[in-house]
Amino acid sequence: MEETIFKGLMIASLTLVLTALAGMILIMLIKGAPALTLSMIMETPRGGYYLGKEGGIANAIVGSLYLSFGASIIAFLLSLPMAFALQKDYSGRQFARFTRLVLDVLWGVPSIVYGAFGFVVMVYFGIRASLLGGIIVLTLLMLPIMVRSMDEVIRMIPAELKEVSIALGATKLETTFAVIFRQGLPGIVTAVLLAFGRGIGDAASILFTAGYTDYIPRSLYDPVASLPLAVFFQIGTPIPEVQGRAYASALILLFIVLIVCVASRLLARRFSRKIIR
Amino acid sequence: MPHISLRNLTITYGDLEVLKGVTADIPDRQVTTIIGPSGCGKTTLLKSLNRLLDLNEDARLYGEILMDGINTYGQNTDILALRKTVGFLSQRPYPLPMSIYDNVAFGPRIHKLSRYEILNQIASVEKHGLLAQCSVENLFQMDMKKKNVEMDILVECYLRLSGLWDEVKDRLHGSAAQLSVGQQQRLALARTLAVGPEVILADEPTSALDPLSSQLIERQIKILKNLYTIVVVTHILRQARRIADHVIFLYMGELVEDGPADQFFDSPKDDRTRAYIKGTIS
Ligand SMILES: Nc1ncnc2c1ncn2[C@@H]1O[C@H](COP(=O)(O)OP(=O)(O)O)[C@@H](O)[C@H]1O
Ligand SMILES: [Mg+2]
Repeated sequence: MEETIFKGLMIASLTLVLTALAGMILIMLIKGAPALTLSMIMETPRGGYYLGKEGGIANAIVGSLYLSFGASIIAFLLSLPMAFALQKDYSGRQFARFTRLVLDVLWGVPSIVYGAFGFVVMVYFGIRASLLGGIIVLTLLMLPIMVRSMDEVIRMIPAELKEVSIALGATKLETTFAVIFRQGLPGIVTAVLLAFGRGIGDAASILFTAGYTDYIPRSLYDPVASLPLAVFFQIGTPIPEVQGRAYASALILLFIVLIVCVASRLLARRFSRKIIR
Repeated sequence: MPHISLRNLTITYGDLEVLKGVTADIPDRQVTTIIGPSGCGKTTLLKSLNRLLDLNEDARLYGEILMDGINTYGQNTDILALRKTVGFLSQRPYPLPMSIYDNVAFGPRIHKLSRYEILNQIASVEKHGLLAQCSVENLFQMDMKKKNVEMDILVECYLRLSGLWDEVKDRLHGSAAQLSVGQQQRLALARTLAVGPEVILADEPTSALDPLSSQLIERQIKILKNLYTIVVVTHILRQARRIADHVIFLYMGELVEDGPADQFFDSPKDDRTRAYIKGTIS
């Protein structure tokens, strides 16, 4: 009896999730596909683009990729050592618990707050909205997600596995690199993906810090466009063509996330073949 | 060969006194079994021998463990070297998250053994004639210019020595996680041997295995005792009878009786030993 109820609930929630996903993709396709032309992807906006004339949003696509990959790479390089440092081999119990709490709070902070914070800092230092500013704020946004997800993955690794390596005469550090890292790799990939997803889709944090422009940035100090903001700006206009383009932009964003998701899943599967369960 | 002696060894976890003044000798190149009901401190004792106990922050140790007369808990102990000399097999095998080959090569790589050291190590094992079809002369005819050929030889030798070679020789670069538990335990043995230890500690090495795999492990232990000092923890009396040359009987953290296996089983001195052998206490 109980089993049937839970089975029913499971099926219900699965159906709900799948319908939501399918519905989202379907609506974006219906509304955005007509506007999704090659020039949409390949060209930057020309004069009158926002009134429905020629051009595309290559500026926002490239901008988003720069921002999210740049931030993901920096966040990854910072997160991995941080996540290892939180383990009880390297940190005291109190310190680790406090740091985890702070990271969890940061994880929950709305991204507009990150944006506002970044803006204040940039004004103080006299930096204007730029790719660099966007990457820094996105990195801050991603850090708690990456560190905490990696931390949980690493914490779940059985102590006995570590013991095997220690018993063979390996040091803590050698054990961390040669055994714990490998065992955690699939989970670490997932952690990066999670943070990447939040980063590439976020508009509020980069609104003031990365700015927006019709050009592809040539340097770190140029302002940069992004897909979420492209959606935001275009959907607000009364012109139907431009609205269609907003949905097309959303579709492109969805597509990028999907590709990265599938690619990282494949990567994780490759890594997990040799890990023990 | 190090001669291991425990001198008044007491180990506590917080307020819990797990071992109470244990004094015993562990003879060289024999199989010593530590028997006793579960919870009597067998694992704790074993882990103190290669200082794996250091990983447990709550554990405190008093007394001495002497190897060749030198206290391993003394001031100047090289812990990494100690763990190299004293290998450890855990109750459940945990393959490292890498290939079968890399599992065996893990220790030698960590310790950055040179080609010369590796070949020397193999030669000293081979001297005892334990490596059927893996004789050093054959091995040295291999193409020594090939990269990592010494590691290939090492992996083969120790897989043979642990009785696993024939089962895995065609999939050395496959995942170790996909082996059966019995095979994983023998892989763990090969991995431990590859570091070149003199002592092997095994904590109930067959408790997670099926009877056939257990038998294979026992067979390997009997073969290896010509080369290594072996300490096996077990709570299976019949297993102790089969493999032991020397027995240490622990009960509630106390050493009740120890001595040569036949004497221990045939004419036990202590009442508790008699009761345990008869099965009236457990
Ligand atoms: N990490 C630990 N912290 C506290 N107590 C422990 C720990 N490990 C084992 N003990 C306790 O020490 C006693 C002996 O444990 P152990 O050496 O594992 O016994 P055995 O291997 O003979 O079953 C048990 O009472 C157990 O509960
Ligand atoms: Mg035990």
